[in-house]
Formats: sequence, structure tokens, C-alpha cells
Amino acid sequence: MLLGKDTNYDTIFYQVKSGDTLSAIIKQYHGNVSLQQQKSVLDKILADNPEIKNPNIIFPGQTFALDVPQNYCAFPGLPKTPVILADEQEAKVLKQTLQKATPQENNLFSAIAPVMLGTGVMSMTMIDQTFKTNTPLVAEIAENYNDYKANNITKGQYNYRRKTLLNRLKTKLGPTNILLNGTNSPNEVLRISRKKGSVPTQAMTQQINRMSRLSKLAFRGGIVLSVAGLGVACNQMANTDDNQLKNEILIESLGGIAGGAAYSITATATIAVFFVATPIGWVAALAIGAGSVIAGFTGSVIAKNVYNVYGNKIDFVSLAGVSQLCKK
Amino acid sequence: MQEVAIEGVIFFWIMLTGLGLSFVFGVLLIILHNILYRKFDRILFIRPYFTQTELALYAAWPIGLLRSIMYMTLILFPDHARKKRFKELSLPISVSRPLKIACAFCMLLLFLTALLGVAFFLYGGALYVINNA
Repeated sequence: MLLGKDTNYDTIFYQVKSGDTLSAIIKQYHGNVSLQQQKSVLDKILADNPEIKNPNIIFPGQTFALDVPQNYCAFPGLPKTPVILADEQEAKVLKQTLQKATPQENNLFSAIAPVMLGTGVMSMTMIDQTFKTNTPLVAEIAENYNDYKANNITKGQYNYRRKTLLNRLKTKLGPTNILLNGTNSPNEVLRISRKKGSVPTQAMTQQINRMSRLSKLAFRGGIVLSVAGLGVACNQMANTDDNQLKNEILIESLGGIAGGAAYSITATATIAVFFVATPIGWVAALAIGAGSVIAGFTGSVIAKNVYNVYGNKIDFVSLAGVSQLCKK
Repeated sequence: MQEVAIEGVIFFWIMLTGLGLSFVFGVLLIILHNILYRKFDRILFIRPYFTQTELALYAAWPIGLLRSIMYMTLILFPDHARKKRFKELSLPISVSRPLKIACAFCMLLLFLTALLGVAFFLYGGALYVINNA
């Protein structure tokens, strides 16, 4: 059976355009399949989307779940447009929401998707920055213990330093501590181990490893969300025939990238000149993340506005060959 | 391209040049980082030039690229760098002429791109305010 194994398929959400038919959509994503295979895909669509009562009647703006082969981009002549994929759980929730939504609400979903992605990038940047820059504090807690055991400091000095470092860590981590330690505070987690055969500072080592792992995940997550943002823009360009609108989407996206890049490069140049470098707390990390997203958003708003008023005679889409890259 | 307002041409020139330069800067910085950290980490990425926190902070990617920018500052502006960070550095820092030129070019790109970034927001922001006033 064509759709027998779910692992070979991804679920995407397809928004019906004017002139679409289910058989054309199936051909678009599955290629030239036999009539029997086409029927099998159609049956799966009807089973997954009970709101489609008659396969011959679908409406522009209507969104439905569609299983597509994971390698569909490799088929010649098929769409090269990136799509937002959903895992099983996300697909279930999204499907339920979209089924209940009106066409206007579905359009609103498309409009706010970039904002949701931007917020996601901001959160990821905040987690990445907070964990990355505060890892040394945890190492200092372990170093403090080692200094005490080596008789380099007194018990009083050890207790005072440990308390100070833990308080600093608690303040710097702020709400991101929930991701790291759940509802436990750092002083509950970062205890010296008294178990026989274990390294006394193993809790600190585990915490450092966890912070590094989460930081890497957040960094990658930020990149994935940024690329997904570009994918959304490319998808929007592919789904419109209005060249002016295509140019607006392209300029908006480029403006966003330019704004974000301007922010980070100016920050780098400032660091290079003033050599500023201190551990960043969650407030500063949030400010950096928010700054980057706000700069990107501001850049996109400005670029779109300037394009519409002063530059709408320039066809950037054709000049850059983007229409070839983002096509149906 | 006809009938395009000069304001639009200037704005998009700033935006696209800035984007292009930031890409070139990123690639060049990664290349130079791979040369500089091998050459200088052993003698410069140590205490007292960097604190314990900074040593941990700048060891990670991508924030570690910043330490290469600091090495570049030392190569190009030794007096300034010795005053700010590499105090009491007695070792002479000598690099080949092509590497020095590449560092200078990278630093030039950094400041030029930062300048274009500031211009992008100031000029674009001013046009936005005028259009929506």
C-alpha cells in the first residue's frame, strides 16, 4: 500500500489555492502515480480530513493535512518549495485547530506564523546565551570545593564563596533554571556528593554537560527557526502570481536578515573596540535575543515601506532569480 | 529600472551592499579564525590576558570567533590592544605580510558593515518616518 508506512511520509498542511483539485495536488506531491495509488492517497486524505465530504469540492483558503513522501523534493518537475513539517503530535493539534477554523482564521494563521517563528528565535537565543555564558560559574563552584579540600581556603571562606556563587548563578539563570533543574533551585542540585566511589563534584560536571547540551540545542533550534522563516517567505512567494507581492515578500525577508545582521555585527564591532566581556544573565540574554528579533522585524518593516514608496519599479525577484528558486 | 526614486536606490544599495559585505566578512572571519587560533591561542588565550570566565566563554563556537577579532586588534593596533587587554605582553607579535593584510581587510569589512548597518536603520528609519508622518 502506498501510504502503509508512516515513517516514509511527512505530514504537511496544504492551503488550497484557486483552481486546485485534489488529483492535481496529489500529482504535485506524489508524481505520476498509478490510478490505484492515486485512489489510495485520496482515501488517506479523506480519512485524515473528515471535513472534506466530497473529494470534488474543495475551497480556496481551505487547509488540510496531506501526507507527502519524504523524498518528494527529489522528484523531477515537482515543487522545490520548502514546507513546514509537523510531527505526529503537532499535526494532531494543528489539524484539530485548523478544522475548526474559518478561512479568515486560517489566513490569520499564515500571517502570524513569521511572528511565532521570530518569538521562537528570541527564546532560543536567550537560552543559548544564558547557559553558554554561565557555565564557568558552575565550574567555579567545583573549583571552590577543590580549593577547600587542598587547604587553600578555610571552611568559612569556602562557605561564603559557595553561597555567593550559588546566589549569582540563581540570579543569572532566572526563569531558565526551570529548563535546567525543573522546580529545584541551583543550591539543591549542585550538592557535594558524599556517596562512596563517586566524585564529590559530579553534580557540577553533570550540570555543565547539561547546560552545554541545552545551549547547543537552542543554538541549532534558533538556526532551524530562522531557516523555517525563510522557508515561509519562499512558500508565500511560490503561492502568489502577483509579482509586486513577490517583491514585497522578498524585500521584507531581506530587510529582516539585514536588520538582524546589522545588529549582531555592530555588537561585534563594539566588543572588538571596547573588549567588553562579562557573563550574561537571563535579562541581558533576553535583551540580546529580543534585540536581534526586534532589529530583524524593524528592518523588514522599513525595507517593505521604502520599497513600496520609492522602489516598486525595481523587480528584485527577477533580477535575483528568486522566482526560479521559489516556484510551485 | 526607470523612474526609480533616488531615495530607494540609496536605501537598497545600503541594504544589499551591507548584506553582501556581512557574508564576505563572515567567511573571511571563519578562515582567519582557523589560522589565528592555531597561531596565538597557546601564548595569548591564557591568564592573565583573559579571565577564567572569558577562557570558558570564548572557547565555545560561535562566540569564540570574538577572540580572533581581539588577536586581529593586537596585530593591527598593538598599542591599543596592549593597553586594553594584553597588558605587560613582552612577546613580540610578528605575522606575515599577507596575514596582516587579510586581518586589516577583515577589520575594515567589520567596521564598514557596522557603519552600513547603522546607516540602514538611520536612513531607512528616517524615510519610514517621513512616509508615515
